[in-house]
Amino acid sequence: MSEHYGDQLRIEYHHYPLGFHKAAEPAAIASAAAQQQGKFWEMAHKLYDNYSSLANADYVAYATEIGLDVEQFKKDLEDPKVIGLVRRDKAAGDKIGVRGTPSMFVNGRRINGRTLDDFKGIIDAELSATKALVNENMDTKAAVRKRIQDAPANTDPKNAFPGGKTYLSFVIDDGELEFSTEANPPPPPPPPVPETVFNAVVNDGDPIKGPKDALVTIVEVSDFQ
Amino acid sequence: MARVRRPSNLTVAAKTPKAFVLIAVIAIAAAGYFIYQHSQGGGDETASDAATPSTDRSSAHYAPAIGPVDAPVVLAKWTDFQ
Repeated sequence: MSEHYGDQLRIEYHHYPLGFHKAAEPAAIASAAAQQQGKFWEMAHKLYDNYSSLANADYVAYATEIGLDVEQFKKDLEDPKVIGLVRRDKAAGDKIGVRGTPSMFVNGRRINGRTLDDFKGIIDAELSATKALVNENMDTKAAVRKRIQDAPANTDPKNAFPGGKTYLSFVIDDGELEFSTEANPPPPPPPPVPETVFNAVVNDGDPIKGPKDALVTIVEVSDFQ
Repeated sequence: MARVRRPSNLTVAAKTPKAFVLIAVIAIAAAGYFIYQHSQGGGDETASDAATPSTDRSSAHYAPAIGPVDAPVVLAKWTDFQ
């Protein structure tokens, strides 16, 4: 994509380590530590190529292979500033509706392209819109900012997006975000127990384990795929 | 004609070297240009920055990226390594 568009396109990488991916955050912090020495992309390639080997010893091995100052790299892995880079990105992603990976935005507009042609169509349209603003004597950066600001909100739960002003605030500007920079933060409190009581009907003949008069009944609704 | 002798305890003030004057003029001119640039917004780069205040606390500021900062289209991707 960057070869196709050259100077017309900037591609940004933002961290969004998913909570249920156990190694995702340490790997993200390892890449941010490599970034401190100007080798983010080299570390990123290592992490993607070895996605099944993501432990602390592996990160140090990769750091050695890509020629980092390993002692500095180890310090950076625990540096609150470096940890904060990853968690700030995650917190900003939360604010703009990111819930899964990958999630992509073109000039602040959430997109759902699946094929290369989809992406090219979206980027071409955005290029035209931005160039139209530049032709009205607007500075390119200001034009991009306006495109982001004008991005509409979307209430579709699968594609929820609070709108361009929120994107500007938390991704481009320094909107206040809450995140920990501790190496091992305490686990988040468990979610509250829902108070809604559902009447799950269990009919005679349904597959059941355990006595009918048990004090607790768990009802599972599932399929085989 | 009467001649006046210069008192022996008086000295002629040293002349300011031309090189020193030249350096001073260059330094003052450079300082003036610097102040002017700042008052005008610092040229193209700063003018663009003023339009887009991506701060040093923002995600966009720190995000690893490919492509120029003033590209007309920015594709931002939130993802992880696992």
